[in-house]
Amino acid sequence: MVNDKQSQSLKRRNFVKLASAGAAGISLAGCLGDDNSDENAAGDNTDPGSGDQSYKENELIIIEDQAQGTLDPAKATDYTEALTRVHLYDPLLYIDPEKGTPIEHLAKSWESENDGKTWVITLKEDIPKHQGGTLKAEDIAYTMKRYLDVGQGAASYWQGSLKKSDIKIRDEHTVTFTFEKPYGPFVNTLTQFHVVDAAPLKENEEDGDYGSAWLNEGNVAGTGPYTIGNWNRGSSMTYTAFDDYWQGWESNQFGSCKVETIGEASTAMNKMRLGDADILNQKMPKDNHQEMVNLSNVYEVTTPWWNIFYMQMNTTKEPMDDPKVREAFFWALDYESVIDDIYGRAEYAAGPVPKSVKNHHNDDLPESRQDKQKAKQALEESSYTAEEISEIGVEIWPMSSLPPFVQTSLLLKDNLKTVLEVEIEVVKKPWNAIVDSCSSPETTPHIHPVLESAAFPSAFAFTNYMYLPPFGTYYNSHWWENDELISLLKETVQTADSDARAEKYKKAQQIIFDAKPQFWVANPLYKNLFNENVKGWTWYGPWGWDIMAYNLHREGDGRAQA
Amino acid sequence: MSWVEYTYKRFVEAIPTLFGLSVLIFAITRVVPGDPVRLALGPKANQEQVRQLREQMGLDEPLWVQYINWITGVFNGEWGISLRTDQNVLIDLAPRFPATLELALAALLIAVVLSVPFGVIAATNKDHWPDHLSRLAALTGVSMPRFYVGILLQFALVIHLGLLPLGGRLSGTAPPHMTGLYTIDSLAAGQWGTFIDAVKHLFLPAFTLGLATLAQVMRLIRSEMIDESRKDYVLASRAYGLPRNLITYKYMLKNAFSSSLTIIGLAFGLLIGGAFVVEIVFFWPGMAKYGVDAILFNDFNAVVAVVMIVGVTYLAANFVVDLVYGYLDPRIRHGGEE
Repeated sequence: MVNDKQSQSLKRRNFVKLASAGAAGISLAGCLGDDNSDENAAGDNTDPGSGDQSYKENELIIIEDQAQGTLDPAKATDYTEALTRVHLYDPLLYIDPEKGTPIEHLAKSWESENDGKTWVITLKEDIPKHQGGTLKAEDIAYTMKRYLDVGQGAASYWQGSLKKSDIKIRDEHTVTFTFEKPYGPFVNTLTQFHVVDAAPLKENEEDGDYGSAWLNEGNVAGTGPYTIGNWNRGSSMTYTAFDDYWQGWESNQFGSCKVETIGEASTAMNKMRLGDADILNQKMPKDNHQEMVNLSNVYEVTTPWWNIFYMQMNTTKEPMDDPKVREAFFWALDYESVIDDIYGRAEYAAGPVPKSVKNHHNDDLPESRQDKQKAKQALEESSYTAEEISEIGVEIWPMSSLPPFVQTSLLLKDNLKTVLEVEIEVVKKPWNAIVDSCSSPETTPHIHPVLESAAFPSAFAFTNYMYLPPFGTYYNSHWWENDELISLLKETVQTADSDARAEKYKKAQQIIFDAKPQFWVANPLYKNLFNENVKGWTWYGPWGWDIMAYNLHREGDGRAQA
Repeated sequence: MSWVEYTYKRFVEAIPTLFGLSVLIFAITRVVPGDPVRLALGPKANQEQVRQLREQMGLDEPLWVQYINWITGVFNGEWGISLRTDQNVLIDLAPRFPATLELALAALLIAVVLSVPFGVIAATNKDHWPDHLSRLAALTGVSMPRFYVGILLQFALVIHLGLLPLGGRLSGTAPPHMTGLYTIDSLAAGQWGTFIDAVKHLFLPAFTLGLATLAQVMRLIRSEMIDESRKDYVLASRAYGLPRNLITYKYMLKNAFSSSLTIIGLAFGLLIGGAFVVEIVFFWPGMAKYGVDAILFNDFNAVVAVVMIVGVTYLAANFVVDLVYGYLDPRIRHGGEE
């Protein structure tokens, strides 16, 4: 039995003291937390100019399903990073929404010299920068050198063909880029060249990082229409109007754009339903999407997209090494079901380049449609029987978190069984497992679905990236090499004339179509959901360009309610 | 054993546990198949870019060197760079951990505050309708998936009744930073409006998260109370004419609650680590979802950091439970001393 003295030693107040100490300890742990109210970019907006500033009252809310990654425009590799980049930084060239071709933006002219090896870029003058001053050729030169040294994001468009020593400043607003050989797609790639302000980045550089850490603290050093107003990591980011933006502001534009990260579809839908958000930029199942479209305060924008959904076939593995087997599989798939039922709406693919990539698509190529007779004939002409193929154990690996991939894979399995009496297995895999497996021909699965988009206005992403060695990434893990094609694609890189280059792309598409190392399932339509009072949306094409708050405006009084 | 000795002993025992955990999780994240660097750089990165980034991140060093560098960096505030956010993981977690902590604490508070009276009511009305109702509620609480409960509550209380916000932590600006827990920070700053707003935002996700724990603790308390009611001291107390409520809440509950503490301690760790579904549904910017995304992306520095934080929190929670146990039952602390 515990004596009185011992029981006295544990008085209530002692326990309370200890409990308080524990609570204090927990609070100290919480002191790791940031003060979100102070998470402001150092973006140095100049004093508001004169004129109507009512645009500052207009807030656009976009719902995304992925949190913000890096804020460094030279490192953007995913959609959300690209979306932020187009709001904070300007590219040298914009995109004509009608023609899908580059047009002037920060650059007012671009000319080639020296048989197409040198490009002379001339800037517009008096373009204000976030951190003060106006844009100069020095900033362009620094931006390109930065891209090349950082070596991530869009750098792959220029690394290997441009050296830092060949970037020259001709005068205050003119810079030249000289390549060893003519680089045909260069002008198109400048739509992904987002310009930074050299001075603050040099000043805030740490350990040779080109100021990347400083940018990732929430600072912005460019010329774009917005800076960062508030950043709640993992939750939301608010872009705030750069008052001195060189293109100016209208009263009905959005002076503030908040991007909220909401992973759950039903929650995102409810926000739109309640009128608490303007744009629902989230991939959701067809039924959910249709439910939203039926709301009175929501409308859908839809347009052909520079995007292709295809099945990659590993041409080094039996039986996919036989072109006739690939052809048989190609004709067996029920494409109509994919387009109508799985995607809800999409366009039939016609070869490896989306039809919407104007000027570059080979219009002579037929659309991908099921043809059971052709499928059976191709199998008969192949070196495998249906039984042999079934015994091999062909596997298709769809990404487990993407329902259209899984559903299309199951459809293909069923079609092959029904049309060709071939058995295959559908093995769902997480994304990182698929990426890793594609690093060698031995580990790449027989078939895996891929969705690929173009980052700049060209067939380049669907031809050169996919069919020029080295292979070993998820989008070019067909391991198919064709000397004629490789030679042709290398020529496109060195063809400065855009029309001549387009003809080469079209010829390349025919070669690829004939060999069918992939089969091109659909060109999914771009679909997005807008609040009824948000207007002005225009389709520009590349990845990350689809929503630009600066180009939108509100009509009516506030957000429409359901 | 004095309280100081007891506390010191438990603290010292925690160190090898944390060390072992750090070695284990560090090794696992480095040896799992897959190239996270390739994944992070995207498919258009060439081999040179991949090699360059691997070198920058020290991934070309032997594993034990990487571990030494990492553990040294932890004590210097360098927790490694996240492949997804391109930031020091410490900076990523700084706002997220308090968010999850607040959510888990609130969930636990709701669970404990509600489970005790409901458990007592069920026990004192055994085999009557309050008992049956509590059984039904408990079954619902443990069997329904959290995300489903959350969505249902959103539809009922937000969409149809408009009583509470849909999600997030606040409608407006955060209070001046002190702990990162908005309820505490707003109270400390005297911002009552912000406090109310924070509580409103916190209630639904916390209730959703704590529902299963509430159900478990409620049933356990009921069971323990029924066992206590059969003991001689209860009969004697009644015979002496002590008030029923006094017997129930002062004597019986104190004894019955001891075994629930273990569940509560375990539950807290589970709440911290398992909050990601609730965080997704209510777009709560917490650490749990960050951790799940890190795992899916093989963002190894972030995975290690999240696991270590959960481990430390788990140990801390169990330490507190042991202290409370020692208070409720001094025999435990004194190890059977006379």
